[in-house]
Amino acid sequence: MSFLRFLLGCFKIITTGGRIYYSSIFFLFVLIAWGALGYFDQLQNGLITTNMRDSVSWGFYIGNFTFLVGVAAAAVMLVIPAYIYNWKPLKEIVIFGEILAIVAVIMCLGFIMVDIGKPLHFWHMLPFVGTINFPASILAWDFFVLFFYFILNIIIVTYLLYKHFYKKEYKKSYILPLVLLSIPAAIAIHTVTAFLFNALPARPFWNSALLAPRFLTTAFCSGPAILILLFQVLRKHTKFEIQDKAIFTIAELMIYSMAIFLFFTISEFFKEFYSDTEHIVYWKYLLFGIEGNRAIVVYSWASIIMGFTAFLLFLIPKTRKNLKTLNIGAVLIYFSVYFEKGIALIIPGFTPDTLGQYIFYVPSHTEIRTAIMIFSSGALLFTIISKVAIAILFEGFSFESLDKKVTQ
Amino acid sequence: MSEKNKESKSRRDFLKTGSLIGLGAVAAGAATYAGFAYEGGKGHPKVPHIEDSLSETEQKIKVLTENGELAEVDINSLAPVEKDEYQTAIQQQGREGLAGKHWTMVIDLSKCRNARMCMAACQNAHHLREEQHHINVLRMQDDRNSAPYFMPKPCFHCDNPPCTKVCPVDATFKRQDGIVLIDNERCIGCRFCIAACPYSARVFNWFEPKEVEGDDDLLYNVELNVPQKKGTISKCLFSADRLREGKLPYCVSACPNGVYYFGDLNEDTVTNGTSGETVRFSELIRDNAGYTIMPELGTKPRVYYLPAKNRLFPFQFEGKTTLEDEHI
Repeated sequence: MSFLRFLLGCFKIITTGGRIYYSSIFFLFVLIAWGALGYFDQLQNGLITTNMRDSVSWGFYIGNFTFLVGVAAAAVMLVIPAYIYNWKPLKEIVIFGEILAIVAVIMCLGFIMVDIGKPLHFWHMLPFVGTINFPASILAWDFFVLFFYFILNIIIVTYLLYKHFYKKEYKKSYILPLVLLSIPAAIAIHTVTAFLFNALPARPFWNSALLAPRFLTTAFCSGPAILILLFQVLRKHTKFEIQDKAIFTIAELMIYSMAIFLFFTISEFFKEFYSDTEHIVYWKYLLFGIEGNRAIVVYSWASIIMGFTAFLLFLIPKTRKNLKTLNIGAVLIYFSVYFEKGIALIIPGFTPDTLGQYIFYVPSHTEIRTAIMIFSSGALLFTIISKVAIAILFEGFSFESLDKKVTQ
Repeated sequence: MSEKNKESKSRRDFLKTGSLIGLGAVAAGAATYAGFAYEGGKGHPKVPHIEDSLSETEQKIKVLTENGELAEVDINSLAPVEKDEYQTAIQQQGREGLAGKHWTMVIDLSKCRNARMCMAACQNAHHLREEQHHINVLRMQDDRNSAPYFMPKPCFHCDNPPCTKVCPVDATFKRQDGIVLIDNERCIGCRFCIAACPYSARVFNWFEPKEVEGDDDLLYNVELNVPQKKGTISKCLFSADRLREGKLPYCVSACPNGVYYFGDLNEDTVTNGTSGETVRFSELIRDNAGYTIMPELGTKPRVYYLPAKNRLFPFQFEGKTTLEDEHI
């Protein structure tokens, strides 16, 4: 009964808002509809509407999926210091990292669903009713860890909001084990996702032991980068409170990640270019183009330059502790990682294909529209859940305010 | 070609009816167990009661049970198989494969002259579009100084297949007779197996499959992969349906140049699809320096190649006798 009232309260928060809230919701709905029309074309005519073919059999969708798994994993970036070291300014905002994780996992599922050729067969993946190939298939593992991580975050977020809604203190003994569990789970989702690509001897580009560590370090840059920006927007337009100190702490954690990523990338470059075997062809396609085709070169260099600039902006204390330059750095690192995961990771793995054929891939119109549909849906979901969280945590919305409105 | 067409069509007709039509074959002495079921329950032959056979007809019929035994039963105790039940039986026998066999193929590169009859026969049998290949004839050149040659490439049906273990729903699998098949009714179309295959053996149905007359009424057969399904994987099947009938694969028997040998590793014999000559597999490989492709990946391919040495035909492609590829 009390949970029903909680849901009723959430519903009330979602349906009452200002002009900015409604117009942004409307705008997102328009984007979703526009993207959905593109996806509808794919549903009718098959994946031929994408630019993927037998040679390049994964593309933009799987790249986005990989990127979003990283964003989801990054919630842990905020959880570790907040709960383990009990840093005061971070504690309340950890919940937003977890909301982001929930939304990101849903978007991941979205990208998988649009990528597979037979979405109606997806139930074969479900345990007990389907024929899931566990433990042999890494995709089955990925399914389980993502699902587990999703449930964990849902429980934590709901529990914290629920307790706050009834103006009660949450029980640390309930929540701490779950939070501690979510840390290895976050690392697991991104590691397992890296393992999807990692152990395929057919694809030398991914067949490097550094792939999973590189995944984790980039994730710990892109996820917090979104949060740094979001917190400032929320702080400006709502009663959400966060001190500058907390933002700078997040930035400080990101710089470690970036440094490690840089080191890993240099190690990878050295090994490939110094040994100079045939396998270097994938790196050459990524960085310089092959046979006059430079379709993805611009993305790879944009990623490198943006990443390096962000690294410098975060590294120098003066620019890190200045919100303006910090924000520039956050935007740069976000797009750097997005290009790196979305384009530079998947496509060179298939170019050339195992027969040595060059089929040059860039996302089709349909793929971009479908991706926009999923990203807008994610943004919509995040807006709604964040609104609930802000109202309950910072605007004093509780069961009492629900009663008040009911009696009026 | 047309003869082959007719042959496979009559077989499909047989599959379509999915009922007691198989009894005709039974009368001819070649019984098939998949085509019927006993009234008492599937798989366990119910011996008709004496009273039954006295009261009704006396007509007896010989059938082959699932265990390979010949049983004599009353014709009235047989009932037509339901479509679903029959589909399950086909699916099951397709998953199990032929006991005691370990199929292998040997491709003699010195004989291939790019006739592409193998590709045509395969595409015709499996209802593939022109650009889809279960078997493809590639143009190869190993070094700038060596001569180019043609290389037919089917699926290698690896003994340690990288593609089957990655499949999240166990849609692609390796059978006891060594054939790697794909179940299109289970495949979700994630294309993980394409990423995992080092030999580009798999194709995806990116669009609506080629329209073939009568496809709508066909029961799906995992050993033939027809009808093709949009959004799923398709691949070389070593013509598992032909092997079940005791025939050579479509590509092997279509070749006019004697390129293909096909046979059973357990028996250590392979038969040339053109000449019909049967030779020892081990001797053929040993005497002709047979090899497999990319053995360093540990996939253990079941398709062997004989080197493109002392070739019977000069390489010619689009009027040229060499390949111009800067990557050689």
